[in-house]
Amino acid sequence: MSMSAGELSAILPLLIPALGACLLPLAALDKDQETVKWVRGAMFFMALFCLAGGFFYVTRLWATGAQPSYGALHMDRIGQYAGIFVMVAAALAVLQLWDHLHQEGWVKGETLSLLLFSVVGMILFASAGNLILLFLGLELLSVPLYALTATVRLRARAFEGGMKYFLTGAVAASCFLMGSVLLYGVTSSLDLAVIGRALGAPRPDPLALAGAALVLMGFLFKISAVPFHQWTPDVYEAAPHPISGFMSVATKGVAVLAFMRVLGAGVPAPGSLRIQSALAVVAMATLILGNLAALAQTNIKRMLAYSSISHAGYILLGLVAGTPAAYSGVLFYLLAYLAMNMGAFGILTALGLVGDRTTFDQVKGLGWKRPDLAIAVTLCMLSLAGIPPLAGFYGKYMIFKELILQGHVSMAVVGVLASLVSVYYYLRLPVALFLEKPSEKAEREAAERPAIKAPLAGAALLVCGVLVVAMGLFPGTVYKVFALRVVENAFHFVR
Amino acid sequence: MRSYVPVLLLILVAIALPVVIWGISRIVRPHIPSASKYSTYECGIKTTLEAREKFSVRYYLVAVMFLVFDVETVFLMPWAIQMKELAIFGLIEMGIFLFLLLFGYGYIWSKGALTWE
Amino acid sequence: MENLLAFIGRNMFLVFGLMAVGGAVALVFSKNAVHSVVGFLFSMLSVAACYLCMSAEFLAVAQLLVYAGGIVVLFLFVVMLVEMTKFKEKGLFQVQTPYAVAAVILGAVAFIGVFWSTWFGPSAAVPLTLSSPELAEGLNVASQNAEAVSRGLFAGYLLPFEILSVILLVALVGAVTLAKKERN
Repeated sequence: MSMSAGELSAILPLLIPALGACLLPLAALDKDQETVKWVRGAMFFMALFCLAGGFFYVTRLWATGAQPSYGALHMDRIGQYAGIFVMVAAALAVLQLWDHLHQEGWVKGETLSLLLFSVVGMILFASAGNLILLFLGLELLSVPLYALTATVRLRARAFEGGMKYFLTGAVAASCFLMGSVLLYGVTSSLDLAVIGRALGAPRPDPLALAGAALVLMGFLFKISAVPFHQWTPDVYEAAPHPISGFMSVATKGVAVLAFMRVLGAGVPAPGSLRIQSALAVVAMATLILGNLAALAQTNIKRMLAYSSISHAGYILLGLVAGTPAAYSGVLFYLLAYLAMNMGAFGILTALGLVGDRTTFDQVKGLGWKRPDLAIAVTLCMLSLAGIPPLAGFYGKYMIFKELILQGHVSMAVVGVLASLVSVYYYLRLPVALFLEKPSEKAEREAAERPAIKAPLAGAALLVCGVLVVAMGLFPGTVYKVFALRVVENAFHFVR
Repeated sequence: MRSYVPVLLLILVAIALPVVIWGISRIVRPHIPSASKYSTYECGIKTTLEAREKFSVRYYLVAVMFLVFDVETVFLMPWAIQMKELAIFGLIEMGIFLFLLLFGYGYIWSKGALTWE
Repeated sequence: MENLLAFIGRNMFLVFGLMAVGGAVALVFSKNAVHSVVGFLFSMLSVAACYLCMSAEFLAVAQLLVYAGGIVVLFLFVVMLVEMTKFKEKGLFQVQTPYAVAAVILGAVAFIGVFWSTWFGPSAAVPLTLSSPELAEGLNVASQNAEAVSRGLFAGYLLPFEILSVILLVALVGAVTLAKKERN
């Protein structure tokens, strides 16, 4: 048996980052644990090179319209979208990691290697067409993230966060596995399409429904939806800032994509009232809890964690609406969310605030020292709050429009109110950066410490700011080029 | 499943033998307890400290690495059974599997995780 | 003779299942941490015997090698590392007992409810075999279990197999990254 060219092109987006991930630890074989500068530079360059290579390959697939598949691995539009999405997020994270790891004093090649392995797992998770590949992708994307959360071992907080992520993630993965086992037991098949047909029957087996519910719980854990959101604030606070940003964007995005694929296959039957009402309840609870809890936070990373929980709520609202236009809206929202959130997490590294020094007090007045970065993060914050004409506004607009058209007016109203509430805590950061004066103690400390340069993180932040503005100014182009094409080719809607 | 019946008999005998021996000795032996008989044995000297000491985490790392290679062994088994039928193609597939894990082995060796200190 | 063996096989499953439950009860309720681990080991061995009663040889061997051979060792190491007896004396683990019991009862009721409706429900209980013809042609799945599994592994599910090795590699790298003591 040999692989056809089409099959090879389906696996290639996975192979390129995997190759990089396997070769990177070779650079970390220095016995002294503090590698020479050019080796460190070469490691980061190789990571970026692999990500760029994968990115260009996937965009070439996208441009030529090819949708190869290898067995149950479907590198169709959803998989290619996930590839582009995850690789851009990972590239921004790698840029920020250079500065962050140097500031923490813990530069290791394994960090990049684990990040690239997680990228492979994420693309696999979003392209999986049967339950085994879904589970393997879930594990492959999660296990490196557990290690990455705890990777900066100088801080005890990091270990605690990694441990919490690992334990809760293991429970969620075993839930997912139990659900898959029940589904397989009832339908004798692992393929999503076959399971969907079995579940779409007029009287589906209650055991199969239980299995589908457990699989749903696994997905909701990864999306950080209530009541499976408990891990998010602690883990985001404990992880290094670029890794938190990467987790918040990429795992959520890929989980949403895989969830869309699973829903699109009919697992559980999307037309049924049960799944819609369940998702609606979860989305409402997530929105409300995420926004209310973010109001009270004094730590920037915890605030961003709760804000990402609330964004999961908006995304779930889009899935509740269920029409093709709503799905396209969700995909546009994910792209906007990528830029906004990576920028929001990037400001902390760019200003040199690592470890536990991430409270609002720490950033007071720092906006005037680096005004370009502060303006970029202000744009990201305004976009997160949904203020026009930035990208976040258009994402929310598309989702709310579809909700109202489908008749769920009350949910749209709750969403808009939640957005209004969120403006308060999103504006706290620009206000602290520009309008507040640092305390005397902080000024003395800043004068004593040498000036922290974070060129790559600053560049990544500026790129995010530019992307946010660009997507806000040209939403239609982005929508047509990216979001609509996925929905046209990939989904068969049971409505 | 016929071939596993001897295994079952072996397990039954393995459980029965110590139980019988212990039961008979329990019935037959005299039972005269005293305080010094129940204290911990340390070559006749009185014990001062508890027997527990600080356990190093290196044991755990060794156990985790053992587990990873154990899972690899489990997947070697079906290949070994069907080796002739799978021919060169199975060898290549298994080779990729083993190569990736060999890579991991080389990595942990060079990081010094296989030495004790 | 085959009928007799099949009958014994079905009932032995019940016996081994009860032994597994007994081991699990010992795991949860014993006062000494090492006794708990021995109960766990007993439970894992009984589950392996259950797999054998259902003609799943590969799974039984995998269970013995990985669970009884590796996971139990890890449990023992954790018991040794953490000195669990101190915790058990102070009663630090007893706080959650009422919640745990409530959750287990709730879960058991839900499970039994679902299985009850399936047992007496419209879909009959079809015994599960490796039914896809392209994977197990020419093989009697029961008596040639490992061959059937290997054929599936190397023909139909090759990509998951290779992904599995990547996951193992990631586990190695992650474990060494987190647990290896730094030199300086």
